[in-house]
Amino acid sequence: MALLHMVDGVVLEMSPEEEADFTARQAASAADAAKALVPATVSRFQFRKQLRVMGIFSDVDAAIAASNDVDLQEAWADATEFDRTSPNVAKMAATFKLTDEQVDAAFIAAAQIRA
Amino acid sequence: MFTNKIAPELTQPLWDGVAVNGGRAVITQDGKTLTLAQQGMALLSVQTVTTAVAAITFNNMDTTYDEYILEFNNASPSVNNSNIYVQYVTNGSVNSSANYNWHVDISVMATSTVSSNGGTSGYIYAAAATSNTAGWGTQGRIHFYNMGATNPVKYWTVFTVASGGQCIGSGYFNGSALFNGIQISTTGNFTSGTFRLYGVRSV
Repeated sequence: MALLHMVDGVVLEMSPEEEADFTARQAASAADAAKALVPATVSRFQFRKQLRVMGIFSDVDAAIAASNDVDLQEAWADATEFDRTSPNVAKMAATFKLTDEQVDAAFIAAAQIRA
Repeated sequence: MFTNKIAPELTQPLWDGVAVNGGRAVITQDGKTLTLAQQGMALLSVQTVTTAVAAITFNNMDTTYDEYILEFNNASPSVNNSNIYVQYVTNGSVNSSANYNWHVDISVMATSTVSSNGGTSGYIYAAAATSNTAGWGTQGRIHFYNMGATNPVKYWTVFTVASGGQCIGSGYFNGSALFNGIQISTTGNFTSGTFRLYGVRSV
């Protein structure tokens, strides 16, 4: 059965072309929908606590200390909040082979931690 | 003789400079006339969902109005926690080209955090985390500028609130396509909602 849409108050069946457009939009928007609830930033406390919850805090700490990346080390030592789109977050995600979806989930979980 | 067509019992102008011309109230000031019926916001169309539909389309949006406003009340998706999207339409055909440059800040109710999202996609991002629970439908409005014109960039602004998040956003369509309609959709169907289209005219 064809999908229905309402056009200027009249309910009609979508044509095959209209249905194809609609289905394509649905697929294209799925990734954006998943990202909708990812916080842009979390606090230092939330970020570090979430790493402990994930069981990788010590490993992350050690990996950063062993790196020669001064920018990364200073961010880890001094940042008061962590940005989801930060290149340093991306570097550590790559080091620990975390997918975008896993990092998004970690930020969502971190945002719910209260100090 | 002056006839007040709004209040016929009056036999003289309500105040100097106001008159009725051709059935429309006009104001004359400093040698210029302003016809009241040609300015302000006009309700153009109302569509109410009584049968579940995947999308809702408004046509006949042209340069008559400087701005169009889509207002929706209690818009509920069939799939919980869905987003709402809008696309431009040309003569009934939806424009899905990746020329919609959008940005939305979403205040996430559950975490009291702000999620900042942006992208270039084939749609306008209009609302997030909408509820399919009866009575918890999404409310909001979207303003559209430069509809029915080719050269100016088509801008929009978004103000919506759903049970899961408040969405404030804006964006523009980068291209010279001429649009004369919009289509609003979500994940799955809309199972409820009243959608009103207004036109706003400045002169």
